[in-house]
Amino acid sequence: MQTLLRRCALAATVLAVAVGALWLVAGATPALAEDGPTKITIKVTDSGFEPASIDVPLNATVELTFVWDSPNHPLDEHIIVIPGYKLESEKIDAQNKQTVVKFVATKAGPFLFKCDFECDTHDILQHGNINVTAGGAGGAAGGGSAAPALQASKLVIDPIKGIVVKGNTVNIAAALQDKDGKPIAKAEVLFFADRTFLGRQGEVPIAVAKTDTNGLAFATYHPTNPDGGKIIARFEGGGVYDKTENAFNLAGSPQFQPIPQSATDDSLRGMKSVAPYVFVAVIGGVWLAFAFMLYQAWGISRVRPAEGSR
Amino acid sequence: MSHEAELQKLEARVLAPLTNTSRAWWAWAVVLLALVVAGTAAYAVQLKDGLAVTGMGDTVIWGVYISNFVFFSGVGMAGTFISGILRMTGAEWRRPLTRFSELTTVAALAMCAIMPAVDMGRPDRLWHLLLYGRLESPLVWDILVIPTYLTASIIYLYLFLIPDAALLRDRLGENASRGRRRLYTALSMGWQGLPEQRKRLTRAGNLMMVLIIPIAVATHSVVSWIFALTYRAGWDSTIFAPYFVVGALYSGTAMLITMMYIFRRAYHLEEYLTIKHFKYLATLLVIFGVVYMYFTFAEYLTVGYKLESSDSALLTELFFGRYAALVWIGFVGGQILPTVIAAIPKTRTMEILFVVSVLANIGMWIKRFVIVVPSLSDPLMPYAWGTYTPSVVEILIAVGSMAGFALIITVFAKFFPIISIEEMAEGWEAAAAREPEPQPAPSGVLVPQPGGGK
Amino acid sequence: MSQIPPEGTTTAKEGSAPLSRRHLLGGLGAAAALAVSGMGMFTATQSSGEAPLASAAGTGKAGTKRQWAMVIDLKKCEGCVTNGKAPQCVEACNAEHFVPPGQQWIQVFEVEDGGGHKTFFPRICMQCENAPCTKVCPVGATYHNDEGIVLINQDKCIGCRMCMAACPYGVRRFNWDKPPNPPGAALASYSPEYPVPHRQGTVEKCMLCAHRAKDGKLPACASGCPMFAFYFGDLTEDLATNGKEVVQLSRLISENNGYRMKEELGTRPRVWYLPGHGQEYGRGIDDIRAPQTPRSWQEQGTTLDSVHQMDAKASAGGEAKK
Repeated sequence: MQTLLRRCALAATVLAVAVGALWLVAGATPALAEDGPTKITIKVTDSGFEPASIDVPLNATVELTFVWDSPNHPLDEHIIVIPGYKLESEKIDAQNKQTVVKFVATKAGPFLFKCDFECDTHDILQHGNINVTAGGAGGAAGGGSAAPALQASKLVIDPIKGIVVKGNTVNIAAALQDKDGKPIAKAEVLFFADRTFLGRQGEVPIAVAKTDTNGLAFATYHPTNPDGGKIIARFEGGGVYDKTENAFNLAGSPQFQPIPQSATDDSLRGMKSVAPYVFVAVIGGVWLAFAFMLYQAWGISRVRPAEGSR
Repeated sequence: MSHEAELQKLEARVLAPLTNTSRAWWAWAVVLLALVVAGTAAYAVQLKDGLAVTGMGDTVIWGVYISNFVFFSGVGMAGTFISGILRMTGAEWRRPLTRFSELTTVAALAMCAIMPAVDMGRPDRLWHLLLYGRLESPLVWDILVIPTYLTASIIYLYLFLIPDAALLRDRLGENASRGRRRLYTALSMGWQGLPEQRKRLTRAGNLMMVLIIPIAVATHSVVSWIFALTYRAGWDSTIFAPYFVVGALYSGTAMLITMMYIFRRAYHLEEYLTIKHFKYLATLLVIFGVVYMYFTFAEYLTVGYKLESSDSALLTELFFGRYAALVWIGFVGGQILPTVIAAIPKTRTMEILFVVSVLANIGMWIKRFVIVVPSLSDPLMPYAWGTYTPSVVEILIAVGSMAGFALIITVFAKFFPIISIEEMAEGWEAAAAREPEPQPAPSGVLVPQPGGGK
Repeated sequence: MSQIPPEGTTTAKEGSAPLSRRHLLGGLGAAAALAVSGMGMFTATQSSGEAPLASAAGTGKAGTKRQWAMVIDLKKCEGCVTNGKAPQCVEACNAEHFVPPGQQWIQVFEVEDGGGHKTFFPRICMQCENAPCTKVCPVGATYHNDEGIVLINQDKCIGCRMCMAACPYGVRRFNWDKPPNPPGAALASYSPEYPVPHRQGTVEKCMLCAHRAKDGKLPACASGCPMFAFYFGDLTEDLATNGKEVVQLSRLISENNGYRMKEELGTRPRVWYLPGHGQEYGRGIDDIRAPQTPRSWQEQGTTLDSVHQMDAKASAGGEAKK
């Protein structure tokens, strides 16, 4: 049942993209679906979210506006997160009272949203629910008109400024932009290295980073062999944007030496290397003493009576 | 009675069993020999079919053989150690004890050295130890130290035997076979009691009695380190070396009391092995017993207080579980009872002390078993507790080794005096020198004129 | 070619960030200059997604040795209770090495987790760096090879079992009886890396399929596991594979709260475990099914030839995946 739903959603998405492309050709405004985003305003007060529970149709583009409203606690600050959709808002406080979180509700079900900042009471109070239900206009029927259109996005790695190699460390800066070249903040960028190991080739995840307000995501990569290879940065789209990726080649470095690993590293090796000699010396000394004693015993037979008292 | 007369009496008493063999001796020796043969036959079976004929398995990988190994190294420890200490401190009462103390050590160590080889899966590869031996292995420490101690004990026994061998050479005459006479002649090294000879003997003997003490301590320490250098619960202990050393002294002292009693009865040495000797050794037994109990307490307190999970499981099994009977019999019967009885003046009779000393050694054997087996059956992974029942082959070999121990002593006592005549004479001489008697002491004590002094 | 957004596009929020973008980029730029001047060892070029890799072939070069390690993902291990078979890792191991009956070089234990529920725990030899067993061996019959695997030379072993007493994981097994060998084994060339034929009176254990690792193949248990729970890796290159995916070894351990068994002993095992109870294959903590008894190589009817065929198939599969 779930897979069926997912397939329908996928079909709807593909349709929507196609329709969006058509509209682009026709010169119409792209990006948003016909009936526009579902806009909801939520007040963040001392006693919780108002409203604390909202309903959203599946596949709708949602714009949640969170409004700071705690006159009694002027120092309170909030960052609202929706873990189920991997979303995070800007910080709101007494100065910046509003923030907007935009996403496309591609997954059905109840999703928690909460304040994720270190404020005193809100861990307990500030919980809300988004119910994404399939019963809406863009449901299983697959009506193309209601399906969301994803915005274009672009991931940029400037090979001069964006990739810095220090010894065996490669620092990567990737810039994420929307269609207008504006930075996309708080988006998750995944970094991969294309590697082959024991005959298996794969994209090895090397880092996950969130973009800052300038749309920059930073990652550090420690190559472990001299070969270099392709490094890939990828943005999954977060439900709003197109999936986008960018890659660069790291040329091999013959001088590279991996940190040697030793199976028999031992911190007391120095001490232990001396011990056997001491041990052998002691045992040897004891046996020498044995030899001395037996020599004395043998010497008894060498004593001539004439040398004695009798 | 002059010391000359004393000496003659002693000679007659001590040398008598060397030439007159009773039927009881033969019966005893044949029984022992039969047991040794049975043990050897059992070992032949094990050689043919491998260690599969034992009760050991992948969980309890060591059993009776290793318990026996530790037991014998313990019994062997005390003889030479006590003889060395008493000689060093010049304790006069040691004189009738030294010979059979040293003998006990040699016999026990000979058995002790055999046990690991018996336990080996591939005895045909023993020479690998010489070829590839690694000094880092605690087993190699044992292989180096135990033969060293055995050699030291044999040399020690031999050095103080030289004058007696000369005496036997001179005294036995036609009473002994030609082979015997040759043996005594060879061993005596031409001893005639000359001052220069005496000087050499003293030089060698003094060095050995000092050296033998650290070697004895080292021996039992390395035996303990076979266990203490692993991660097993019950073995992973810093006090194991001194714990084993004290245990060995306790067990060895008990063995000396047992031996003393048997020789006293069998060889009619009532005049020389008196209640005084029993009481002195009993005092040593009490001291070692108390220290051993203290170590036992310290050992179990430190793990029992913390109760790390594996230790906790082990202690439960030891005190209340499947090993409880053995542990409590060993502890109460083998440690508390002997120590207390040996400490009470009223119960310090020879017979009671003999029983007590036998109890102590049974207790110590159990204690060795309880050290080896339960720690191995304590599971390292979440599987069931290991089980171990010694097989017939193992029991036969263990009994055979005990018989071998007794046989070595029995045979040795047939060939050499069990009380050092030289040392006794030396004692009387010294006593005479302190309280001058009318007659001047002759210089050649060991070759007195026939019939002289009476 | 697109660029990093111009400076002017910063928002009002920038001031509150702990490090402004200007600082960051400035630093990076300076470092980049150094890199260009030849200090860096690697150089980067922009790649169009489809461009062939600059150097994709070859692994583990530059004279460094592989240092094998294993990560066992317990989230993927459900004791083979859901596929109705005996633990396949054990059976694969039994077949590969003709493991003497009564022994299991890899053993699947049912253990209790922190909450008192049952989970499964396949235990192989931990290949400790500070290995208690190699230290106590009197003849040096057990040792580390240069790839960090603890091996046993059954031609040297004297059967004293000191190593078995020393091993805190109880992985070592002893051939008390005469172990059965497959027909033709007598002709097989014995090596500590593939100890066939087995010898009575010697110690045996898992050796991380050193013979397979040499050929770049996964250990028998890893390739036998239908759940891909075993990641076989190399510490030097910091990569691991379970036969399906390639991952960074250190990341795999860190991200999944990997742990080593009895870490406090300081043996530094080269086998890590990722906690779990088979949930990736839907095994709940209340599942009471216990693993079935694995079959020995004789019960499986393994012969020397069948092992070779299996190996050939496995390597062919590897080729295909490349």
